[in-house]
Amino acid sequence: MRFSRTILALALWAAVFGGTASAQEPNPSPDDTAAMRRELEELKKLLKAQERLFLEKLQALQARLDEVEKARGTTPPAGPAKGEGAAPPAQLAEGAKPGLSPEQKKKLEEEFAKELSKGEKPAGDQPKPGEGATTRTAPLASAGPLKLIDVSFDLLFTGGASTAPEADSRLLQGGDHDPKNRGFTVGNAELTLAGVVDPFFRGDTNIVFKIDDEGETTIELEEAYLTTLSLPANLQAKAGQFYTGFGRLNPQHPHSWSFIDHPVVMSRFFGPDGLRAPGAQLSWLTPLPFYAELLGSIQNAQGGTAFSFRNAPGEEIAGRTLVDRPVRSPADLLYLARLKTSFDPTDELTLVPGLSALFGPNGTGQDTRTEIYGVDFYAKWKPLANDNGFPFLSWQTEALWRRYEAERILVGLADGAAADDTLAVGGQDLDDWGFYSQVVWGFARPWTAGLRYDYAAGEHNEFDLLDTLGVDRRYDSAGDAFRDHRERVSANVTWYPSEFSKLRLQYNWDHASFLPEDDAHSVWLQAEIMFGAHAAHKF
Amino acid sequence: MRPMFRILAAAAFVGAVAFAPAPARAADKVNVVATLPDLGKIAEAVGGDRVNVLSIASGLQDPHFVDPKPSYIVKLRDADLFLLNGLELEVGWVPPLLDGARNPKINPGAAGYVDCSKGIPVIEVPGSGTTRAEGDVHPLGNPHYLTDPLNGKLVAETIAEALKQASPGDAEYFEQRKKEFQSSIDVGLFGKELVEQVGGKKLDRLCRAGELDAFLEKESAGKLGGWLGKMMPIRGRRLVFYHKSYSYFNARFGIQVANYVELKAGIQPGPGHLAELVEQILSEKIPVVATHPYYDEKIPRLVAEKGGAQLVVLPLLVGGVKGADEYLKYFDVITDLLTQAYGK
Repeated sequence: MRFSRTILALALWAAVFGGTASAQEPNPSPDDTAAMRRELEELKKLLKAQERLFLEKLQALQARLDEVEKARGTTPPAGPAKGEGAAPPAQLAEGAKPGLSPEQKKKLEEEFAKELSKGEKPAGDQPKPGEGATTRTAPLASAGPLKLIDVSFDLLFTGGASTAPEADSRLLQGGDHDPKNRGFTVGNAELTLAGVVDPFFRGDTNIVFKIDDEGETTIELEEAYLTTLSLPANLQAKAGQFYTGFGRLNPQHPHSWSFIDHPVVMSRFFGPDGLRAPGAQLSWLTPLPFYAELLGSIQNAQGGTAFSFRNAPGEEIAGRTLVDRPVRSPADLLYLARLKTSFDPTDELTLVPGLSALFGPNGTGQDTRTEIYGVDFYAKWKPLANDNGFPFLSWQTEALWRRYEAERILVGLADGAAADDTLAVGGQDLDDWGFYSQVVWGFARPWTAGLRYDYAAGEHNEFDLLDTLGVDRRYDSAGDAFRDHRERVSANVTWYPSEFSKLRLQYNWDHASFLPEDDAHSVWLQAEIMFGAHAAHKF
Repeated sequence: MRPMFRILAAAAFVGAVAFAPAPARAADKVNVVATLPDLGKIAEAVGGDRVNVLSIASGLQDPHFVDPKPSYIVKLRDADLFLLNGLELEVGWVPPLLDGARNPKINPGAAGYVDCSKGIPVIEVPGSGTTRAEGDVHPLGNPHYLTDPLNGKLVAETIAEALKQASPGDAEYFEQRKKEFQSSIDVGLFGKELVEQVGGKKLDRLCRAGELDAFLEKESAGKLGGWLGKMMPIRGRRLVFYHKSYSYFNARFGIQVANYVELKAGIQPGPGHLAELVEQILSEKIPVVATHPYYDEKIPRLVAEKGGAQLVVLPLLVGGVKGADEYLKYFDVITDLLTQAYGK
């Protein structure tokens, strides 16, 4: 139909042109004026008809085009303007290339490097040849606005109850983000800000809001640190306030935990907030063919977030009152050494073993020290063809051992005692240990089930004496909630409505000698929401 | 004395590791690491024997959900070029890998960081005011552009440019191979006969502008062959898809999506929606339900069975199903599977 119309149109055109051609023949008879007029009228009519015909054809074509586009469900990247936008980057890059030989270019770069190093620029931060802006491919139709800061917010909210009285609950749940009340707990409301500062640094900040047992809102600068982006030799530095990179769980934020509470041994060794302090860290990705990372950090050893170390003066540890202990030498800071490795026995199984060691001063005396050693292991199985991350099976275990050198207590002279009994009671090493082992099974999208066993214990220490000031000093680790034998079994089920929210139901069985009946049962339901920038999790 | 010994031991260990012989690597080749096998295959096609290519994700995987395993960090540590799909497809797993790799050559902003979405005409960009009430939407638009073979040509362009910068001495070699790859896509898409008659460049332009049919009709040029020719009998047909992962393919080949199994990205479909879906399939006689190998097959299979439709498992990535292990073969397989599913 359309074809025949085209032919008709062409035929008409031919007729018109044929007609005009014949009219041009010289024939100046007076009768011809009338004939010419008629012909003119006819021509005008024909033109009108032509116009209509072409308009019709135009509309039909447009309609057909629209139809096809609609059928494809999208507007095709048509049009010369967009076509140009999609042009291959070849021309631009070609045009941007300076007319220099590689030798000339290198020379020039060396010159620039020399010039630049005259400033006070740290050596490691110089861009290497070939990385400069001049050789970068110009972005074409690069999507999205400038990415300056990622902001996200995470809320963990828990409700539930325990058979343990509330006072004991606070001893059972050593972590600050753990539920400690019958009723409701806002365990963690966390604002995360992150962004690339410049070609050399990235910044990360976590500000945590909590509502404590007494209903007071507390704000903590949990982390705020810089990370280098361009150190040479596979090195990376971190500086600011950050979680000490000991083991697997300590540096993790509560929203990535697989249970609603901290394992017993973790809060026992690292206090309610986890081990974090201002300091600096240097890590090195070794050139070995498998993943092996060495990490060392130096941090302050004081404050409640350095629980096993200087902690806060006035706190009680093992019958001693912590003293104010200033930094007199580098030995009064906190040192971490860590080795983290990883192996993939198959495409679907990954193992991540690691070792950590911590050395630092503790607050019982001016020269007393604490050492903590840890072994951690993580294994995860996940089929390649997984549906939104399901199914998977993961196993995580950390075992820790602590030697806490407690200051001796000078003993007063009891009636009839010999003079050389004055010294060295309680000047001892307190040894503690513990582990947790947890299995998380993502059995069906979007459900996971978790099971964890917790164990913590310490060497038995006790004394009962009068010190040189005549004060009765007594300690028995058997009654100490933070040193006595503890066990816990936790089981939970988690439902993830989306990647950005979860509901978790957890049951805890606790065993501790300070409890009225030696054990307690607790049930908690936790909700989490996360909004803002799409977070990426470390493995 | 003890701390001294410890420090010495640590220093000895560090020294031993630092000076241990590095793993053998071919000296002159460009080390390319790609997030997806599709990008890796295109890099291999363009780079030939002057590149070493490693792909992180397997074709079987959902590229949204790849674990950032430490072993991938080791791959990135040694990379000269890092190819990524971009458009935030890998936002959940690439940042920790780049962070761990400590390789300034491939950091965002460096020449070795190659976002292959550059220059791609992106579709399904969410309008302003869109929230995650719509599910886990991709804020920069649909990232699965490699399902359109013409976009594969643009990616080859981007990769060739990056390779030329990394190894200027091989520029001609890469240019030559890129052209060969691009014309093999033209032949694959339009058929050899038509490409010889009209020329790949012109066909590419017409096809992108949506003017190919009109052109073929008008010029009564050769017969449309290749994947487009093969898909001709089912053009305009409808299907139910699992996720919005084939939008570029569907636009190019004229397949219409009547509905999705996963109504909102990243959110498991509810039974109400699935029942409605079956009803729609029955009442509108939709013949095909399509899914990907990594989605649990139970639900789409049930939907297809109840609706009397054919279930077809299409690869999203190269290597996703048997035989689709090269970028060109991938389209051979997809067009085979779809035409078979429609019974044509």
